[in-house]
Amino acid sequence: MLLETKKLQVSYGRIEAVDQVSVSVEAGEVVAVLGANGAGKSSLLNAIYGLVGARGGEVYFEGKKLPARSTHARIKSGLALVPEGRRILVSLTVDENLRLGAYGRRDTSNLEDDLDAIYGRFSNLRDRRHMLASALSGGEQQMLAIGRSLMAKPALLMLDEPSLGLSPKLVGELFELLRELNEDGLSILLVEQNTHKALQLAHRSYVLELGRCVAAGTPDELLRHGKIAEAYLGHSNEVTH
Amino acid sequence: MLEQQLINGLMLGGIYVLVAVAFTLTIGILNFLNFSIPGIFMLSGVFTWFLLKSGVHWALALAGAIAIGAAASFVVERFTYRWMRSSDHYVPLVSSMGFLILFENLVLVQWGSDLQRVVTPFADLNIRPGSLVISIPQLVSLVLAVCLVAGLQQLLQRTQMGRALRAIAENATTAEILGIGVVSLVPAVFVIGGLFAALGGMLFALNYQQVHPFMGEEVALKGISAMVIGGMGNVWGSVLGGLLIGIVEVLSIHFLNADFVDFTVYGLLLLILFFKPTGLLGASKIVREKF
Repeated sequence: MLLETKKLQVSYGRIEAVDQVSVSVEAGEVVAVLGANGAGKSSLLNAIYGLVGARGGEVYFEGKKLPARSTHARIKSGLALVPEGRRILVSLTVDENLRLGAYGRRDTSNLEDDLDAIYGRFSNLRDRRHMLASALSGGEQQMLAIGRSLMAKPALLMLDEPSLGLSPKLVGELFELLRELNEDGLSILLVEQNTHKALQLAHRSYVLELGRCVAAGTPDELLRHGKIAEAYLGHSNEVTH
Repeated sequence: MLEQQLINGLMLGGIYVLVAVAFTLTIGILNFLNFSIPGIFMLSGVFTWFLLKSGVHWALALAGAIAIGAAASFVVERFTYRWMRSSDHYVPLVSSMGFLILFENLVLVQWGSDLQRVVTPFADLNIRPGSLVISIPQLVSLVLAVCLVAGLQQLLQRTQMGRALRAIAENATTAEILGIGVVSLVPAVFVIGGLFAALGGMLFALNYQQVHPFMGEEVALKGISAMVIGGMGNVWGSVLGGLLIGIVEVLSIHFLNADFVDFTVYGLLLLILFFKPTGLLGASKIVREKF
Protein backbone atom coordinates (compact mmCIF):
# COMPACT_ATOMS: atom_id res chain seq x y z
CA MET A 1 0.00 0.00 0.00
CA LEU A 2 1.44 3.38 -1.04
CA LEU A 3 -0.96 5.65 0.79
CA GLU A 4 -3.56 4.85 3.38
CA THR A 5 -5.73 7.02 5.61
CA LYS A 6 -7.41 5.49 8.63
CA LYS A 7 -10.59 7.18 9.86
CA LEU A 8 -9.23 10.63 9.00
CA GLN A 9 -11.18 13.47 10.57
CA VAL A 10 -10.96 17.17 9.77
CA SER A 11 -13.20 19.78 11.33
CA TYR A 12 -13.48 23.54 11.07
CA GLY A 13 -15.06 24.66 14.31
CA ARG A 14 -18.14 22.50 14.72
CA ILE A 15 -18.35 21.58 11.05
CA GLU A 16 -17.07 18.11 10.23
CA ALA A 17 -15.42 18.59 6.84
CA VAL A 18 -14.01 15.07 6.70
CA ASP A 19 -15.68 12.45 8.87
CA GLN A 20 -13.74 9.23 9.46
CA VAL A 21 -12.65 8.73 5.87
CA SER A 22 -10.41 5.80 5.02
CA VAL A 23 -8.95 5.78 1.52
CA SER A 24 -5.98 4.00 0.01
CA VAL A 25 -3.80 4.15 -3.09
CA GLU A 26 -1.77 1.16 -4.31
CA ALA A 27 1.50 1.74 -6.15
CA GLY A 28 0.76 2.34 -9.82
CA GLU A 29 -2.89 3.20 -9.29
CA VAL A 30 -4.93 6.23 -10.28
CA VAL A 31 -7.54 6.87 -7.60
CA ALA A 32 -10.20 9.57 -7.91
CA VAL A 33 -12.13 11.24 -5.11
CA LEU A 34 -15.47 12.45 -6.40
CA GLY A 35 -18.32 14.43 -4.92
CA ALA A 36 -20.17 17.71 -4.99
CA ASN A 37 -18.84 21.09 -3.89
CA GLY A 38 -18.25 21.11 -0.14
CA ALA A 39 -18.19 17.33 0.15
CA GLY A 40 -14.78 17.55 1.84
CA LYS A 41 -12.60 16.43 -1.06
CA SER A 42 -10.10 19.27 -0.78
CA SER A 43 -10.04 19.02 2.99
CA LEU A 44 -9.18 15.35 2.65
CA LEU A 45 -6.23 16.11 0.33
CA ASN A 46 -5.04 18.98 2.52
CA ALA A 47 -5.12 16.78 5.61
CA ILE A 48 -3.22 14.01 3.83
CA TYR A 49 -0.68 16.61 2.74
CA GLY A 50 -0.38 18.10 6.24
CA LEU A 51 -1.62 21.54 5.27
CA VAL A 52 -4.47 21.34 7.76
CA GLY A 53 -4.34 19.42 10.99
CA ALA A 54 -6.43 16.29 11.35
CA ARG A 55 -8.65 16.06 14.42
CA GLY A 56 -8.45 12.32 14.39
CA GLY A 57 -7.19 9.37 12.40
CA GLU A 58 -3.87 8.63 10.76
CA VAL A 59 -2.14 8.88 7.40
CA TYR A 60 0.35 6.20 6.36
CA PHE A 61 2.71 6.56 3.41
CA GLU A 62 4.68 3.47 2.38
CA GLY A 63 3.73 1.95 5.72
CA LYS A 64 5.09 4.83 7.78
CA LYS A 65 2.84 7.11 9.76
CA LEU A 66 3.15 10.73 8.60
CA PRO A 67 3.66 13.49 11.19
CA ALA A 68 0.68 15.74 11.85
CA ARG A 69 1.56 18.95 10.05
CA SER A 70 4.69 18.97 7.93
CA THR A 71 4.53 19.41 4.16
CA HIS A 72 8.32 19.23 4.09
CA ALA A 73 8.31 15.71 5.55
CA ARG A 74 5.76 14.62 2.94
CA ILE A 75 7.72 15.94 -0.01
CA LYS A 76 10.81 14.26 1.39
CA SER A 77 9.07 10.91 1.57
CA GLY A 78 7.71 11.19 -1.99
CA LEU A 79 4.33 12.88 -1.85
CA ALA A 80 3.52 15.99 -3.90
CA LEU A 81 0.43 18.17 -4.30
CA VAL A 82 -0.81 20.20 -7.24
CA PRO A 83 -3.01 22.56 -5.25
CA GLU A 84 -6.43 23.85 -6.14
CA GLY A 85 -6.14 27.02 -8.22
CA ARG A 86 -2.60 25.96 -9.22
CA ARG A 87 -0.92 28.51 -6.89
CA ILE A 88 1.75 29.54 -9.34
CA LEU A 89 4.24 32.04 -7.92
CA VAL A 90 3.54 34.86 -10.36
CA SER A 91 6.39 37.12 -9.24
CA LEU A 92 8.92 34.39 -10.09
CA THR A 93 9.93 33.18 -13.52
CA VAL A 94 8.80 29.87 -14.99
CA ASP A 95 12.28 28.47 -14.41
CA GLU A 96 12.33 29.62 -10.78
CA ASN A 97 8.93 28.07 -10.14
CA LEU A 98 10.19 24.73 -11.44
CA ARG A 99 13.41 24.91 -9.43
CA LEU A 100 11.47 25.62 -6.26
CA GLY A 101 9.51 22.44 -6.93
CA ALA A 102 12.68 20.55 -6.00
CA TYR A 103 13.07 22.52 -2.76
CA GLY A 104 11.93 19.82 -0.38
CA ARG A 105 13.20 16.72 -2.11
CA ARG A 106 15.77 14.53 -0.48
CA ASP A 107 18.15 13.92 -3.38
CA THR A 108 18.98 17.15 -5.19
CA SER A 109 21.51 15.66 -7.59
CA ASN A 110 20.52 15.55 -11.27
CA LEU A 111 18.39 18.62 -10.74
CA GLU A 112 19.38 20.09 -14.11
CA ASP A 113 18.58 16.79 -15.87
CA ASP A 114 15.17 16.68 -14.24
CA LEU A 115 14.56 20.27 -15.27
CA ASP A 116 15.49 19.35 -18.83
CA ALA A 117 13.08 16.42 -18.73
CA ILE A 118 10.25 18.72 -17.63
CA TYR A 119 11.09 21.14 -20.44
CA GLY A 120 11.15 18.19 -22.81
CA ARG A 121 7.63 17.27 -21.81
CA PHE A 122 6.31 20.84 -21.78
CA SER A 123 7.95 22.67 -24.67
CA ASN A 124 5.76 25.75 -24.11
CA LEU A 125 7.38 26.16 -20.72
CA ARG A 126 10.87 25.90 -22.21
CA ASP A 127 10.09 28.73 -24.62
CA ARG A 128 8.89 30.88 -21.74
CA ARG A 129 11.34 29.78 -19.08
CA HIS A 130 12.70 33.25 -18.33
CA MET A 131 9.32 34.98 -18.35
CA LEU A 132 7.40 35.76 -15.20
CA ALA A 133 4.88 33.02 -14.54
CA SER A 134 2.13 35.67 -14.57
CA ALA A 135 2.60 35.87 -18.36
CA LEU A 136 1.42 32.28 -18.85
CA SER A 137 -2.05 31.31 -20.01
CA GLY A 138 -4.32 29.26 -17.75
CA GLY A 139 -3.41 26.00 -19.46
CA GLU A 140 0.30 26.76 -19.31
CA GLN A 141 -0.01 27.63 -15.64
CA GLN A 142 -1.58 24.22 -15.00
CA MET A 143 1.31 22.57 -16.86
CA LEU A 144 3.72 24.63 -14.75
CA ALA A 145 1.97 23.58 -11.54
CA ILE A 146 2.23 19.91 -12.54
CA GLY A 147 5.81 20.30 -13.75
CA ARG A 148 6.72 21.99 -10.50
CA SER A 149 5.30 19.07 -8.49
CA LEU A 150 7.14 16.59 -10.70
CA MET A 151 10.40 18.35 -9.84
CA ALA A 152 9.93 16.94 -6.33
CA LYS A 153 10.23 13.45 -7.90
CA PRO A 154 7.15 12.13 -6.12
CA ALA A 155 5.98 8.52 -5.93
CA LEU A 156 2.42 9.75 -5.45
CA LEU A 157 1.07 12.89 -7.09
CA MET A 158 -2.07 14.40 -5.64
CA LEU A 159 -4.07 16.87 -7.73
CA ASP A 160 -6.86 19.10 -6.45
CA GLU A 161 -9.37 19.97 -9.19
CA PRO A 162 -6.77 20.24 -11.97
CA SER A 163 -9.37 20.71 -14.72
CA LEU A 164 -10.96 23.74 -13.09
CA GLY A 165 -11.05 26.74 -15.44
CA LEU A 166 -9.61 24.89 -18.43
CA SER A 167 -11.25 24.68 -21.87
CA PRO A 168 -12.61 21.24 -22.90
CA LYS A 169 -9.67 20.80 -25.26
CA LEU A 170 -7.17 21.53 -22.51
CA VAL A 171 -9.02 19.24 -20.11
CA GLY A 172 -8.57 16.46 -22.67
CA GLU A 173 -4.84 17.21 -22.90
CA LEU A 174 -4.55 17.33 -19.13
CA PHE A 175 -6.08 13.87 -18.67
CA GLU A 176 -3.94 12.51 -21.50
CA LEU A 177 -0.90 13.85 -19.64
CA LEU A 178 -2.03 12.23 -16.39
CA ARG A 179 -2.48 8.93 -18.21
CA GLU A 180 1.07 9.17 -19.62
CA LEU A 181 2.50 10.02 -16.21
CA ASN A 182 0.70 7.03 -14.73
CA GLU A 183 2.01 4.75 -17.48
CA ASP A 184 5.50 6.01 -16.59
CA GLY A 185 4.94 4.63 -13.09
CA LEU A 186 3.55 7.59 -11.16
CA SER A 187 0.69 6.87 -8.77
CA ILE A 188 -2.04 9.50 -8.73
CA LEU A 189 -4.70 10.60 -6.26
CA LEU A 190 -7.09 12.95 -8.01
CA VAL A 191 -9.86 15.16 -6.67
CA GLU A 192 -12.18 16.10 -9.51
CA GLN A 193 -15.57 17.57 -10.22
CA ASN A 194 -15.32 16.42 -13.81
CA THR A 195 -16.48 12.92 -12.89
CA HIS A 196 -16.85 11.83 -16.51
CA LYS A 197 -13.16 12.39 -17.25
CA ALA A 198 -12.03 11.19 -13.84
CA LEU A 199 -13.84 7.86 -14.21
CA GLN A 200 -12.24 7.29 -17.59
CA LEU A 201 -8.80 7.61 -16.03
CA ALA A 202 -9.16 6.20 -12.53
CA HIS A 203 -8.72 2.57 -11.59
CA ARG A 204 -10.78 3.11 -8.45
CA SER A 205 -12.82 5.95 -7.00
CA TYR A 206 -14.32 7.13 -3.75
CA VAL A 207 -17.46 9.24 -3.55
CA LEU A 208 -17.70 11.73 -0.70
CA GLU A 209 -20.91 13.28 0.54
CA LEU A 210 -20.92 15.84 3.37
CA GLY A 211 -17.56 14.61 4.58
CA ARG A 212 -18.43 10.91 4.56
CA CYS A 213 -17.39 8.26 2.11
CA VAL A 214 -20.66 6.94 0.66
CA ALA A 215 -19.35 4.70 -2.12
CA ALA A 216 -16.11 3.22 -3.39
CA GLY A 217 -15.03 0.90 -6.15
CA THR A 218 -14.02 0.57 -9.76
CA PRO A 219 -15.80 2.78 -12.31
CA ASP A 220 -18.01 -0.17 -13.32
CA GLU A 221 -19.01 -0.86 -9.74
CA LEU A 222 -19.88 2.79 -9.16
CA LEU A 223 -21.91 2.97 -12.34
CA ARG A 224 -23.91 -0.10 -11.32
CA HIS A 225 -24.66 1.63 -8.02
CA GLY A 226 -27.88 3.25 -9.28
CA LYS A 227 -28.30 6.12 -6.81
CA ILE A 228 -24.64 7.07 -6.87
CA ALA A 229 -24.54 7.02 -10.63
CA GLU A 230 -27.55 9.27 -10.85
CA ALA A 231 -26.48 11.75 -8.18
CA TYR A 232 -22.82 12.21 -9.00
CA LEU A 233 -21.90 10.57 -12.23
CA GLY A 234 -24.60 11.75 -14.61
CA HIS A 235 -26.52 9.19 -16.58
CA SER A 236 -24.64 5.99 -16.24
CA ASN A 237 -25.46 4.63 -19.66
CA GLU A 238 -23.76 7.65 -21.31
CA VAL A 239 -20.41 6.94 -19.75
CA THR A 240 -18.25 5.03 -22.15
CA HIS A 241 -14.83 3.55 -21.69
CA MET B 1 31.98 73.64 -1.70
CA LEU B 2 29.25 71.68 -3.39
CA GLU B 3 31.28 68.63 -4.46
CA GLN B 4 32.45 68.10 -0.90
CA GLN B 5 28.88 68.32 0.35
CA LEU B 6 27.70 65.79 -2.22
CA ILE B 7 30.43 63.40 -1.09
CA ASN B 8 29.48 63.87 2.56
CA GLY B 9 25.85 63.30 1.66
CA LEU B 10 26.64 60.06 -0.14
CA MET B 11 28.67 58.84 2.82
CA LEU B 12 25.85 59.59 5.25
CA GLY B 13 23.40 58.07 2.80
CA GLY B 14 25.37 54.82 2.85
CA ILE B 15 24.38 54.36 6.48
CA TYR B 16 20.73 55.07 5.73
CA VAL B 17 20.94 52.53 2.91
CA LEU B 18 21.98 49.79 5.35
CA VAL B 19 19.16 50.63 7.75
CA ALA B 20 16.61 50.93 4.94
CA VAL B 21 17.61 47.52 3.54
CA ALA B 22 17.23 46.02 7.02
CA PHE B 23 13.67 47.38 7.17
CA THR B 24 12.79 46.45 3.62
CA LEU B 25 13.81 42.82 4.11
CA THR B 26 11.29 42.08 6.84
CA ILE B 27 8.64 44.27 5.20
CA GLY B 28 9.17 42.72 1.78
CA ILE B 29 9.38 39.10 2.84
CA LEU B 30 7.30 38.93 6.01
CA ASN B 31 5.12 42.04 5.66
CA PHE B 32 6.31 43.00 9.13
CA LEU B 33 7.68 46.42 10.16
CA ASN B 34 10.45 45.42 12.54
CA PHE B 35 10.79 48.24 15.05
CA SER B 36 13.68 46.57 16.84
CA ILE B 37 16.03 47.58 14.00
CA PRO B 38 16.95 50.98 15.54
CA GLY B 39 17.77 49.05 18.71
CA ILE B 40 20.06 46.66 16.84
CA PHE B 41 21.71 49.64 15.14
CA MET B 42 22.28 51.31 18.51
CA LEU B 43 23.52 48.13 20.25
CA SER B 44 26.14 47.61 17.60
CA GLY B 45 27.21 51.26 17.73
CA VAL B 46 27.46 51.29 21.51
CA PHE B 47 29.39 48.01 21.59
CA THR B 48 31.78 49.39 18.98
CA TRP B 49 32.51 52.22 21.39
CA PHE B 50 32.66 49.95 24.45
CA LEU B 51 34.88 47.25 22.94
CA LEU B 52 37.30 49.80 21.44
CA LYS B 53 37.42 51.65 24.75
CA SER B 54 38.12 48.39 26.58
CA GLY B 55 41.25 47.93 24.53
CA VAL B 56 40.05 45.08 22.35
CA HIS B 57 41.87 44.88 19.02
CA TRP B 58 39.88 46.91 16.50
CA ALA B 59 39.18 44.00 14.14
CA LEU B 60 37.84 41.93 17.00
CA ALA B 61 35.85 44.86 18.37
CA LEU B 62 34.12 45.53 15.06
CA ALA B 63 33.36 41.86 14.47
CA GLY B 64 32.07 41.57 18.04
CA ALA B 65 29.78 44.60 17.67
CA ILE B 66 28.24 43.17 14.51
CA ALA B 67 27.88 39.71 16.03
CA ILE B 68 26.06 41.19 19.03
CA GLY B 69 23.65 43.00 16.71
CA ALA B 70 22.92 39.89 14.67
CA ALA B 71 22.48 37.78 17.81
CA ALA B 72 20.08 40.36 19.25
CA SER B 73 18.06 40.23 16.02
CA PHE B 74 17.88 36.44 16.32
CA VAL B 75 16.54 36.78 19.87
CA VAL B 76 13.96 39.31 18.67
CA GLU B 77 12.67 36.80 16.13
CA ARG B 78 12.29 34.09 18.76
CA PHE B 79 10.13 36.32 20.94
CA THR B 80 8.19 38.39 18.42
CA TYR B 81 7.54 36.91 15.03
CA ARG B 82 7.85 33.24 16.00
CA TRP B 83 5.29 33.37 18.77
CA MET B 84 2.96 35.88 17.32
CA ARG B 85 2.70 35.28 13.63
CA SER B 86 -0.67 33.63 14.02
CA SER B 87 -2.03 36.66 15.88
CA ASP B 88 -3.11 40.01 14.50
CA HIS B 89 -0.45 41.68 12.42
CA TYR B 90 0.15 44.58 14.81
CA VAL B 91 1.09 42.30 17.72
CA PRO B 92 4.63 41.45 16.52
CA LEU B 93 5.03 45.09 15.52
CA VAL B 94 4.27 46.27 19.04
CA SER B 95 6.43 43.60 20.64
CA SER B 96 9.35 44.48 18.36
CA MET B 97 8.92 48.06 19.57
CA GLY B 98 9.09 46.64 23.08
CA PHE B 99 12.52 45.21 22.22
CA LEU B 100 13.67 48.64 21.01
CA ILE B 101 12.72 50.18 24.36
CA LEU B 102 14.29 47.26 26.22
CA PHE B 103 17.61 47.55 24.35
CA GLU B 104 17.71 51.32 24.82
CA ASN B 105 17.06 51.08 28.53
CA LEU B 106 19.54 48.27 29.09
CA VAL B 107 22.22 50.50 27.59
CA LEU B 108 20.91 53.47 29.57
CA VAL B 109 21.15 51.53 32.83
CA GLN B 110 24.64 50.24 32.03
CA TRP B 111 26.32 53.35 30.60
CA GLY B 112 23.98 56.30 31.16
CA SER B 113 22.41 58.60 28.61
CA ASP B 114 25.47 60.75 27.87
CA LEU B 115 27.01 61.02 24.46
CA GLN B 116 30.07 58.81 24.45
CA ARG B 117 33.01 59.73 22.27
CA VAL B 118 34.27 56.88 20.14
CA VAL B 119 38.05 56.77 19.88
CA THR B 120 38.81 55.03 16.61
CA PRO B 121 42.11 54.02 15.14
CA PHE B 122 41.03 55.36 11.73
CA ALA B 123 40.00 58.91 12.66
CA ASP B 124 42.58 60.66 10.49
CA LEU B 125 42.63 58.36 7.51
CA ASN B 126 41.68 60.56 4.59
CA ILE B 127 42.40 60.76 0.92
CA ARG B 128 42.55 64.20 -0.67
CA PRO B 129 41.92 64.25 -4.38
CA GLY B 130 42.36 67.92 -5.30
CA SER B 131 40.76 70.08 -2.68
CA LEU B 132 38.29 67.40 -1.57
CA VAL B 133 38.55 65.40 1.63
CA ILE B 134 37.25 61.83 1.63
CA SER B 135 37.42 59.88 4.84
CA ILE B 136 38.51 56.34 4.16
CA PRO B 137 36.19 54.68 6.72
CA GLN B 138 33.27 56.56 5.17
CA LEU B 139 34.30 55.57 1.67
CA VAL B 140 34.66 51.96 2.80
CA SER B 141 31.22 52.03 4.38
CA LEU B 142 29.60 53.39 1.23
CA VAL B 143 31.29 50.80 -0.98
CA LEU B 144 30.47 48.10 1.56
CA ALA B 145 26.81 49.13 1.67
CA VAL B 146 26.44 48.98 -2.10
CA CYS B 147 28.37 45.68 -2.36
CA LEU B 148 26.28 44.08 0.38
CA VAL B 149 23.06 45.13 -1.30
CA ALA B 150 24.33 43.70 -4.57
CA GLY B 151 25.26 40.50 -2.72
CA LEU B 152 21.84 40.34 -1.11
CA GLN B 153 20.25 40.84 -4.49
CA GLN B 154 22.28 37.94 -5.88
CA LEU B 155 21.30 35.76 -2.92
CA LEU B 156 17.63 36.53 -3.50
CA GLN B 157 17.81 36.05 -7.26
CA ARG B 158 20.23 33.19 -7.79
CA THR B 159 20.05 30.79 -4.86
CA GLN B 160 17.41 28.27 -3.87
CA MET B 161 17.16 29.99 -0.49
CA GLY B 162 16.55 33.32 -2.22
CA ARG B 163 13.82 31.81 -4.38
CA ALA B 164 12.27 30.30 -1.27
CA LEU B 165 12.31 33.67 0.49
CA ARG B 166 10.65 35.30 -2.52
CA ALA B 167 8.06 32.52 -2.51
CA ILE B 168 7.30 33.35 1.14
CA ALA B 169 7.09 37.02 0.19
CA GLU B 170 4.51 36.29 -2.49
CA ASN B 171 2.40 33.75 -0.63
CA ALA B 172 3.32 31.92 2.57
CA THR B 173 0.76 29.14 2.00
CA THR B 174 2.08 28.38 -1.48
CA ALA B 175 5.57 28.31 0.01
CA GLU B 176 4.38 25.79 2.59
CA ILE B 177 2.86 23.61 -0.15
CA LEU B 178 6.29 23.53 -1.80
CA GLY B 179 7.78 22.28 1.46
CA ILE B 180 9.50 25.57 2.27
CA GLY B 181 9.82 25.73 6.04
CA VAL B 182 8.63 29.24 6.72
CA VAL B 183 9.36 28.84 10.43
CA SER B 184 12.95 27.77 9.78
CA LEU B 185 13.73 30.45 7.18
CA VAL B 186 12.34 33.44 9.06
CA PRO B 187 15.27 33.54 11.55
CA ALA B 188 17.60 33.82 8.55
CA VAL B 189 15.71 36.90 7.40
CA PHE B 190 16.07 38.45 10.86
CA VAL B 191 19.76 37.65 11.10
CA ILE B 192 20.49 39.08 7.64
CA GLY B 193 18.44 42.19 8.46
CA GLY B 194 20.20 42.39 11.83
CA LEU B 195 23.60 42.21 10.10
CA PHE B 196 22.71 45.17 7.89
CA ALA B 197 21.42 47.25 10.82
CA ALA B 198 24.41 46.30 12.99
CA LEU B 199 26.86 47.20 10.24
CA GLY B 200 25.10 50.55 9.90
CA GLY B 201 25.42 51.18 13.64
CA MET B 202 29.06 50.21 13.70
CA LEU B 203 29.92 52.44 10.73
CA PHE B 204 27.94 55.31 12.25
CA ALA B 205 29.97 55.00 15.45
CA LEU B 206 33.25 54.95 13.53
CA ASN B 207 32.37 57.77 11.14
CA TYR B 208 30.65 60.23 13.46
CA GLN B 209 32.58 59.13 16.57
CA GLN B 210 29.74 59.42 19.01
CA VAL B 211 27.16 57.01 20.43
CA HIS B 212 24.26 57.22 22.86
CA PRO B 213 21.31 54.97 23.81
CA PHE B 214 18.85 56.67 21.46
CA MET B 215 21.09 57.07 18.43
CA GLY B 216 19.05 54.51 16.50
CA GLU B 217 15.77 56.34 16.46
CA GLU B 218 16.57 59.29 14.25
CA VAL B 219 18.56 57.18 11.84
CA ALA B 220 15.74 54.64 11.70
CA LEU B 221 13.19 57.29 10.78
CA LYS B 222 15.44 58.31 7.91
CA GLY B 223 15.93 54.66 7.01
CA ILE B 224 12.18 54.05 6.90
CA SER B 225 11.76 57.20 4.82
CA ALA B 226 14.48 55.96 2.47
CA MET B 227 12.65 52.67 2.08
CA VAL B 228 9.35 54.40 1.37
CA ILE B 229 10.88 56.91 -1.05
CA GLY B 230 12.61 54.13 -2.94
CA GLY B 231 9.58 51.84 -3.01
CA MET B 232 8.60 49.40 -0.26
CA GLY B 233 10.13 45.97 -0.53
CA ASN B 234 12.48 46.96 -3.34
CA VAL B 235 16.13 46.55 -2.29
CA TRP B 236 17.56 48.90 -4.93
CA GLY B 237 14.84 51.39 -4.05
CA SER B 238 16.27 51.47 -0.54
CA VAL B 239 19.71 52.25 -1.95
CA LEU B 240 18.36 55.10 -4.04
CA GLY B 241 16.22 56.45 -1.20
CA GLY B 242 19.05 56.23 1.33
CA LEU B 243 21.57 58.06 -0.82
CA LEU B 244 18.99 60.68 -1.77
CA ILE B 245 18.11 61.41 1.86
CA GLY B 246 21.79 61.60 2.78
CA ILE B 247 22.45 64.17 0.06
CA VAL B 248 19.33 66.22 0.80
CA GLU B 249 20.22 66.28 4.48
CA VAL B 250 23.77 67.48 3.95
CA LEU B 251 22.77 70.03 1.30
CA SER B 252 20.07 71.54 3.47
CA ILE B 253 22.58 71.94 6.31
CA HIS B 254 24.92 73.61 3.85
CA PHE B 255 22.49 75.95 2.12
CA LEU B 256 19.93 76.57 4.88
CA ASN B 257 20.97 75.45 8.35
CA ALA B 258 20.77 72.40 10.58
CA ASP B 259 17.29 73.34 11.85
CA PHE B 260 15.87 72.78 8.39
CA VAL B 261 17.08 69.20 7.98
CA ASP B 262 13.91 67.46 9.09
CA PHE B 263 11.80 69.94 7.18
CA THR B 264 13.52 69.25 3.86
CA VAL B 265 13.96 65.49 4.33
CA TYR B 266 10.39 64.76 5.32
CA GLY B 267 9.09 67.42 2.95
CA LEU B 268 10.82 65.51 0.16
CA LEU B 269 9.21 62.30 1.42
CA LEU B 270 5.76 63.88 1.29
CA LEU B 271 6.39 65.39 -2.12
CA ILE B 272 7.54 62.10 -3.64
CA LEU B 273 4.68 60.18 -2.10
CA PHE B 274 2.29 62.81 -3.43
CA PHE B 275 3.45 62.32 -7.02
CA LYS B 276 4.42 58.66 -6.86
CA PRO B 277 2.71 56.89 -3.95
CA THR B 278 4.52 53.62 -4.65
CA GLY B 279 7.95 55.23 -4.26
CA LEU B 280 10.55 55.93 -6.93
CA LEU B 281 11.26 52.31 -7.90
CA GLY B 282 8.04 50.81 -6.59
CA ALA B 283 5.94 49.05 -9.18
CA SER B 284 2.48 50.44 -9.63
CA LYS B 285 0.97 47.30 -11.11
CA ILE B 286 -1.03 45.08 -8.82
CA VAL B 287 1.12 41.98 -9.11
CA ARG B 288 4.48 43.49 -8.39
CA GLU B 289 7.82 41.86 -8.56
CA LYS B 290 9.53 42.26 -5.25
CA PHE B 291 13.31 42.55 -5.05
